[in-house]
Amino acid sequence: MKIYVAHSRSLEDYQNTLYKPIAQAVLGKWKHEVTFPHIDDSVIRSQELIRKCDLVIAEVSEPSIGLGIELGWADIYGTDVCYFCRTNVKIPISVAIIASSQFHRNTYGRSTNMYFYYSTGNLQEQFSEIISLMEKD
Amino acid sequence: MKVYISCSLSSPEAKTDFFVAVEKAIKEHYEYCEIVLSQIELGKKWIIRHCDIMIAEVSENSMSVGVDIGIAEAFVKPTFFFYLEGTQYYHIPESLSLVFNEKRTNLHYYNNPQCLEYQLDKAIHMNKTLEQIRFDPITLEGI
Repeated sequence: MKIYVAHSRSLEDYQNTLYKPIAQAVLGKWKHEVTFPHIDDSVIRSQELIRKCDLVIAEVSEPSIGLGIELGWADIYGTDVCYFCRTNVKIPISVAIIASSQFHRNTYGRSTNMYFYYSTGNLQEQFSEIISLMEKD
Repeated sequence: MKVYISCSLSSPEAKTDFFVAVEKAIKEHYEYCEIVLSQIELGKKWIIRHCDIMIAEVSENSMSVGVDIGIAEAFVKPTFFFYLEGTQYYHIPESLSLVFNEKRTNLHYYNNPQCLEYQLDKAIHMNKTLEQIRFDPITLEGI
């Protein structure tokens, strides 16, 4: 399964707070291929990746035009998106609307596509649940 | 001509000024035009789909503007970007390079209302040239 992780570059310490828990959740699960777009300084052309992937994990705590563009692409291409937001952050209204409009899509038995987390451990836990539901499907 | 204007919803005053400037510039060039201002609503992707061009104000790091741009890009709509120099971000957001054309001719900088007027005029002229190419391929030979 192909997973793309979308987030703002200004998200604080995203290598440890976002990439690490996601990487740990899929550790040893050879059938998942995760793309971390900002693992180095290069800019990757994400449009084709988003069109072809099975799931986009969007961290929306920090607003950004680039993240918005990627969410717009995912919306048009019909790619399944799971939104993650920190519990102490007010979610942008444009994200809330786009998330609610997409929920009818392939949800792999999930009860929501909007996830709130309070720690990296909690993020990893919730992401692992999503992965197991996708594997069952 | 149907134009969709996308700008940040956080500063209503700036939004109104920008809208008025765009409206004035478009009406000078097109007799029949409809201008739609960005809004938060479920059906906006259908509104964007049925627009001819998009004009986006990208000086603020707005998620809503990003979503609009992504949708317009996916529907291959001609998009013109306007950036107010000296604002919150000194440099244009790097992620926007995902959607600029090769020579960045669709990116317009401005620092005062007169400059905005001039840049809008330039963008509309460019769009007219693109329209001509689309509808009259022979024009291509002269370019």
